[in-house]
Amino acid sequence: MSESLINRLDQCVALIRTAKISDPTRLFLTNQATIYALFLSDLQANRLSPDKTAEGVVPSMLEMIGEFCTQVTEIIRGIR
Amino acid sequence: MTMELEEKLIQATSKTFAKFAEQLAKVDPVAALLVTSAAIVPVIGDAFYSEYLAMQEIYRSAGPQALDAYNAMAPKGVSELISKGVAGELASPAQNTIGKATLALLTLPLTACLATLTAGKFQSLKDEIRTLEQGGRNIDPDTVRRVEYPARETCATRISNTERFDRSLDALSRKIEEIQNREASQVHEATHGPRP
Repeated sequence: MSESLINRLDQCVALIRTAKISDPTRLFLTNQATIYALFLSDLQANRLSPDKTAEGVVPSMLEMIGEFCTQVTEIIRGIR
Repeated sequence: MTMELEEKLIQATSKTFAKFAEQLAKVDPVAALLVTSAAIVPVIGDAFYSEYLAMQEIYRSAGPQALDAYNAMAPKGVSELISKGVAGELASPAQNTIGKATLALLTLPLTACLATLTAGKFQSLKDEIRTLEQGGRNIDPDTVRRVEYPARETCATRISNTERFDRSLDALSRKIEEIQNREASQVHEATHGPRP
């Protein structure tokens, strides 16, 4: 479930790394991606309690990570 | 890329990040998410350290009741620290500069989280963190050093930002060394079996 999102997030970071943006902006985006990556790592390693994952919190957080990837990709590629 | 597009990137992702941080607060315990791994402690280690000093002084000078009152004003967990101290700042376009610098300060210790990321994944992210660690990006350290955590000021917290920053880097260096030693030890065990 989060496997494809992990790959998507990393592809997004690859784009951030090479994009023609200022380094502070690159850092700013990398930081957010890092927090998302830590979350996904915790999720994959089952470090989140199952009762919380059942509340719909985690799925919406996954959606937000996907949204981040979409925003970054589309803005950097000039689609937005 | 134009400044306008960079602003667009910052604003769009900041809103998403703020929402993420809000959701993060619902995951209990939040500390388990970001802090349980010892590798991430330096992320907020220096902020906690100055808090620790502040609490010690309050306890000594005014007793346990004063400490309780002080604690009542504290952010409730890491998510609140992040959502108010980072995402909260970022939600306001006027404070983007502060937000960027705050995140810059967070990034340096984040290099210590490399070992926590799922093995074999996040290769680009790991590469970028290493680039940052080696000073491969043009980040003005003075910008970073000017940033204050949303810590409550007491006389015990009157250490300079530079000092705080240096302490944080020291903690980070130690953590990276620990991780490297652990990895070296794992490689050794994999090739030669456990050390006697």
